[in-house]
Amino acid sequence: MARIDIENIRKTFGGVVALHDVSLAIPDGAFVILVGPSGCGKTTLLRLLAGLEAASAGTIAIDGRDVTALPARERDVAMVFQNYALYPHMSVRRNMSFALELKKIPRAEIERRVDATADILGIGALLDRRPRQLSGGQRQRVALGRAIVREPAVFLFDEPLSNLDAKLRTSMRSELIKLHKRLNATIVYVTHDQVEAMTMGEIVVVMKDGVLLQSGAPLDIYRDPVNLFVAEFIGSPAMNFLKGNFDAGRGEAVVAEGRGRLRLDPALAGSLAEGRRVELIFGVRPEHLLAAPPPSGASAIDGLVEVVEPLGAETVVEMSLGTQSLTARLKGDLLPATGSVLTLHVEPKSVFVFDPADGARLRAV
Amino acid sequence: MSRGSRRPSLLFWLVLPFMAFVTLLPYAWTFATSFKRRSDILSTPPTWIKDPSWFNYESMLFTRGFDLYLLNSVIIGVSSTLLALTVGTLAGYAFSRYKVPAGNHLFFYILATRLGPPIAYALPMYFLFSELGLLNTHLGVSIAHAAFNLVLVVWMMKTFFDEIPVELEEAASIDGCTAAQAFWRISLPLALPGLVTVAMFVFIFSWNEMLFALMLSAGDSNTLPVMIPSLIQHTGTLRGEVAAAAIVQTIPVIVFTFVAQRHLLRGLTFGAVKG
Repeated sequence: MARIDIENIRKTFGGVVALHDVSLAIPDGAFVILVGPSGCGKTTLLRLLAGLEAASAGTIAIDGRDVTALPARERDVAMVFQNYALYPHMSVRRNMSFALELKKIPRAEIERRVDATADILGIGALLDRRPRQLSGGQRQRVALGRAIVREPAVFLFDEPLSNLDAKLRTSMRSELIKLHKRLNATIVYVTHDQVEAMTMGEIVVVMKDGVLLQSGAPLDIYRDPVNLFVAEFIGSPAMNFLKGNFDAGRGEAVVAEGRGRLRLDPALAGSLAEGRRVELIFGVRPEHLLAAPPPSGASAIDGLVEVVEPLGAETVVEMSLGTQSLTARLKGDLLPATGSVLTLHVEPKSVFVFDPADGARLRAV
Repeated sequence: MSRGSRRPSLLFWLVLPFMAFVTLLPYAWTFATSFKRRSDILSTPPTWIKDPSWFNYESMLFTRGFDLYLLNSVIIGVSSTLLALTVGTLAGYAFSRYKVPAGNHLFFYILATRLGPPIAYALPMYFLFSELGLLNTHLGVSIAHAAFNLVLVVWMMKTFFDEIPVELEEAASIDGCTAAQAFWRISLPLALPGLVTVAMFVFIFSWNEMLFALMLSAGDSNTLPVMIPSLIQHTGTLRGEVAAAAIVQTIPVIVFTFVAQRHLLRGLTFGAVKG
């Protein structure tokens, strides 16, 4: 367990800036997810924490100790790699005990820790096998075991579930959550999968192009994204974005070449009117689109149903609105016909507004 | 159909025995000659071994003093192999893992040492070793062989290290290894099949090498290949002893090839297929 303080960390590779002055405070025992598309700098940040890369500027402190210039072996961190990086020439037991042997921990203590960790992960029967004799899921567990057995201050995970099949990934996800509760350890976990980010993280950090865009509790980010990128990245299916004009007189937006009218929250509408904003991007999450009109407003969007995906509990409908498109998650008993025109509604408080110039979220002042 | 289960074609059965016959017959004849008595060696018509005898081996090794040359070959072969492997493996690792200043040029210049004819290096080396007092010593020939083989070791070992995922060393460094420990405990054991292959090549080169051994050694430091021609004397060729020496000379090559065949194959195909 340890707290991590990252201050103004910058990393450049040649002339390319991979991380732009990233600052982040990770509380003791937190499960932090670094999420973002490929090339956003999340893995670079993790490698900087591990000591596998040297920072170009800024500082990293673990439990108040400045580790920026320390080599990986002196940081008391453990890492689970995407491809597991198990030592192929060592047995599972040796893979797990290797770090403890280097620390010159007594043999009996090593045995005790390896056996206890193997019990937790259910890999006791595999201890004498070599990594090549294990399945992907078993290798994953051994890689986890190798980290756990060290009892490090910080666990670092680099997309550890990306090589597993979908079913195993789901079960490992819940096991990792349980493991975190059990160990109460500080975990920094890198993924590009927003579902992993939402379900596992206590704190989610969204990154793009080497910049930390937003960090916070998963639901806070989902409910209150700071910009268009975060709004689109967090949530599945992704948020719908409709170009449109704001009509200050009526306090509503006309979107998708007149195919929809969105009533806005009065406070937000007031701010937009004050700022004389007209052309804007309006965001609505698929799950906030309603088949029946809500009592609060007269929003309505007419779309041509193109694809209907009945999933049982819900129906995902893709509609076209001229040149724009819209995805809605409706109740499972609603099955609109393909090719029909469907009218959907949305509560004023569920409409997000973004600046088309830089994607920034516009809020009520 | 997998490669392993494919049945050999007719061509295979025609060509392979022919190739084997052409290759093995001279060796088989030499082998037979080495056990023949002097009177049977040139008998007409030629005969296989009538009355096998160790005479040629005893004469070559003990009467002609080849036991010393055999020992010299072993000492020089082993020490030049150890020297070339130690320096070459470390250099190959450095080329694989670190940014070496002017690395590409340096890597090419190492190769360039094998581009010229060996005789071009032999004479300068003779003068240099003469100044250093290394002529007629095991160390001199060992250094010459190691230097000539270094390029092979560096090139092959770099390729083997390139194939080892760098994440393994990163995992080791997080586990608490220094760079040297990560090399010694993780990368080197994983490169072992490659190392064995390279070691065999280097040893066999040194074992068979004649030019440098001839130039740089004399008398008691001579190696076996240098001394075999001495059995062709002005009074006649000691054919039985030549055959016995030739068989002794080939034994390590054959043993190494068979014993380490698995390593050799794995080493030669290392990196050809991922996974």
